[in-house]
Amino acid sequence: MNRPAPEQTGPDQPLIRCQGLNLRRGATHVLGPIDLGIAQGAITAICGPNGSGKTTLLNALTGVLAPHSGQVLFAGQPIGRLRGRALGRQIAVLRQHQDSVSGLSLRELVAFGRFPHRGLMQRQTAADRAAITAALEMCGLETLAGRDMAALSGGERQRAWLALALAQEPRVLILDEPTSYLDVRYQVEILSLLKGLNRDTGLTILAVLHDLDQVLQLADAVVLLRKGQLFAAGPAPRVMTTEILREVYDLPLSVETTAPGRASVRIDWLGALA
Amino acid sequence: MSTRPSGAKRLAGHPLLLGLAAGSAVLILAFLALFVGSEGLIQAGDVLAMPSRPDTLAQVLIETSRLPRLVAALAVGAALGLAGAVMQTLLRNPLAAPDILGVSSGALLAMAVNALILNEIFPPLLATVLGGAAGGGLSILLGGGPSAGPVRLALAGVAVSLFISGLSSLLILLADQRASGLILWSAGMMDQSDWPQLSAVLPLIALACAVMLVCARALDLHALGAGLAKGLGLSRGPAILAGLAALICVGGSVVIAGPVGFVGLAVPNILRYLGLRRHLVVLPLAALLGAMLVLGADVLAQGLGRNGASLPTGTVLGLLAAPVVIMILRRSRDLRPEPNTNPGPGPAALPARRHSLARPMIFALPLLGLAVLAGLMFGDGTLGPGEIIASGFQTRGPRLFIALAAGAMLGVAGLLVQAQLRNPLAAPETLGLQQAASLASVTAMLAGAAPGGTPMLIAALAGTSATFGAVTVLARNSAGARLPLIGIALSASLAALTLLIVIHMDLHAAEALHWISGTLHGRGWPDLARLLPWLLLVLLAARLLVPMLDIAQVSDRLLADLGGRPRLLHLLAGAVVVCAVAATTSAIGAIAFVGLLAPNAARMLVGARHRQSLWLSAAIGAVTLCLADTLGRAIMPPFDLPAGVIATLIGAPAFLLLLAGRRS
Repeated sequence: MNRPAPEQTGPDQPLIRCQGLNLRRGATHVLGPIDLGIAQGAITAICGPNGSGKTTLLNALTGVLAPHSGQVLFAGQPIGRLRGRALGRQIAVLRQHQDSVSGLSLRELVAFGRFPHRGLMQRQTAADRAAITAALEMCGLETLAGRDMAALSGGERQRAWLALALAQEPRVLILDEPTSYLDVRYQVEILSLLKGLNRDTGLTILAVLHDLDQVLQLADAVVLLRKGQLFAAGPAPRVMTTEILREVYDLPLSVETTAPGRASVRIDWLGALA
Repeated sequence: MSTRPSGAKRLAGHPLLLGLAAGSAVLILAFLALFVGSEGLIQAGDVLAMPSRPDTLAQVLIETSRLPRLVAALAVGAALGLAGAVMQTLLRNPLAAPDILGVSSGALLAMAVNALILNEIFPPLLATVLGGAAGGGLSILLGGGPSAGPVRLALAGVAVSLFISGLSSLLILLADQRASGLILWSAGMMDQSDWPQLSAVLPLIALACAVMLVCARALDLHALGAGLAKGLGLSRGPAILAGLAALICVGGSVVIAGPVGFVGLAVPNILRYLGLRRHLVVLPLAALLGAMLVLGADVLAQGLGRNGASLPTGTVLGLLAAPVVIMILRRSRDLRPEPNTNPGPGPAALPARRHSLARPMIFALPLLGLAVLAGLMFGDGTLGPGEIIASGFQTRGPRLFIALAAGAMLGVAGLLVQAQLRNPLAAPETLGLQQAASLASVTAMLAGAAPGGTPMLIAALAGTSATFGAVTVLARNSAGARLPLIGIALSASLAALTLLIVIHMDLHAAEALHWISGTLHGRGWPDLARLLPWLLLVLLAARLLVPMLDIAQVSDRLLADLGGRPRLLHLLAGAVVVCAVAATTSAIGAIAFVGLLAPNAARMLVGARHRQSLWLSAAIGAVTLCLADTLGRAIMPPFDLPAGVIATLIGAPAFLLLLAGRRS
């Protein structure tokens, strides 16, 4: 079978690189071995069935989980060497489930994103304020900045957390299922925001996505996991093929190209339910 | 519930056996109660010779002092056990009990008012029943009605109880200089009844018990739920009758022995744990078990007493507070917190009323100034400006500044624990920290440490940090109102232990009050000098933690994602809290409610961010404690009312407001 080699992710030197990464939980082997590179300036999607190790991989890439063997390099350095706030200046994470917050205004929440850039006793500098305002603008939240977090809609809240991540001015933005629990309109809203950010600022984005159509619309590169193993990785058109997806998801689905550069995933529901 | 029946549970199938076991225990204890702790004046043989009534000193002692005390203990125990069982059924709340719901404290206050102010217009029993009804009614009303959540109702009841007890303490202190005796009395003593007094109350208690037994069937139905009981054709009559009988039982027991806690809470829960449900079985056993518990505690109190004076029985029973409440909260399925449907009712869950004071200290500083001025002017005689400079500053200055420093530290400690535990009801006193510090201080004194010295401070630090660690572990699954309920129960147990040690050591009763409710009486410049470095340390350390605290109040995970260190933060914040609490408590004793209210008030004024609320909380704490102390000195000079009691009177109503605000 024609599975793309992991090294061919992009033209640039990869920003994050995994080398022989293995993760264990206790005595059980949960992930690996994984070798891959996340290209700078690209949108990379991580996909795979439930339990395939997507969130575990994210945690390894952000340095939350220490690898059992192998290593994760961030810009050529082992990620373990980036500690504390230095890590917060490089990597911003948007988690799958957000904490419910009230009693804080949206702007106050976003201002937390400046924590990695500030000293313990330091007040907000002009640079902090500029970054906060820019993050609010990018997410279209300027007019809501004074609102209490509890008074926001689901989509607004998700954008607020995104703005917090952007206020960190990170080199890479990592998102764990950013569109789950949002209705279709908010899903589109968030995805177009991400696409625009990547296009306009060249921000590197790494996202776990469940919806294969969203992957096709959004991702430059795709990392496909199955049962804790790297199944395929590479440019989206080479990974997102009918053959590969059928094998990973074990479903009668097909990738249909509707126009040049436009594709969508069709699931044969009748066949699947039969 | 547990799958395989333990030995005790198998007993539940044979209630008769259980009754026999408890009955024989009561008999043995009764035998012991007649001679234990008499320092040889009464021998076991004298008790056995009782039926022949030989003409000896021992016989006289037994008849005039030991026997009435035994009957009192039996009556109080049975009455409270029954009252607790009936109240828990009527409210369908395993945390309902005479002392938890303010019935006992209401009865005590009514009795004190009746005796000290009204010159006994009412018969004592009527006064206590009315007072108990008022206290219980107030608790239920403020707790959100009879159908409110069990934990919230219990917490509201505890706050009402604290408030009413504060009033009683004040009244007793104001009315009678010989406060020491009355303080012990309000801790529940068995030896204050003689035959005439008992014979006035006992028949009514017996009648009330009989009424409850008659209502047993109706109570069975009531336990199923009010709606169902109505559907089955049950009228409200029996419920009201049983409730009234419970009030009479509580009132009668207060007349006999003062408020005796935790029997009414523990007994029905033990029976329920054994699997007993039917009231015809539960009620007699509750009476028997209650009698056994109180009698056992009384025997213990007499045995431990020295020089012929026994310890207060109620205080011995107070030791049960924490184990009982924790057991109930762990066991009852309906009291478990709902799985994270409403995650983190954190400090941030307060309504975002942001009157965002741009410079809150501009308002706080003049307040501080006013508090200082008032503290210097008022007290034992009002001083003018000249006198203040001449003498007032020297005499009133130190305790004023100690009040400010201690209040500020408590305000900061409260703010830190509330952010750490994400619970606006957390505070040094609702976590049991202050009582732990005072217990440790008293223990250090027992070992010979000088009051206020370094060894005592070290002991206080150790005691506070151990308790903080334990509470943090217990609190892991205790959101909302459960945490303060556990903490308050823990406080009650620790305070009881402290009181027992104080009495056992023959310390002055004034000293006891000092450690348990906190006072600034007699503090001077050296005490202030010892406190100031701690104040600076606490303020500086807290300020350094502000950026991380802001984020941690949302979640630890967010803090970690942003590159902060949640564990380090919790460790450091915990250390600051422990230092603040240990330093203040070893200086002035346990002061309730300042550390609870100051942070909440500060957050209401400036919102959830700590850069401003830190200073404001410190300022509000300082002003509150300073005012409480000034009031305590000024209300009735030359008496010095403990600042802790005044703080409770101010704080408890505010706490209830806070609790009510969280309902929405």
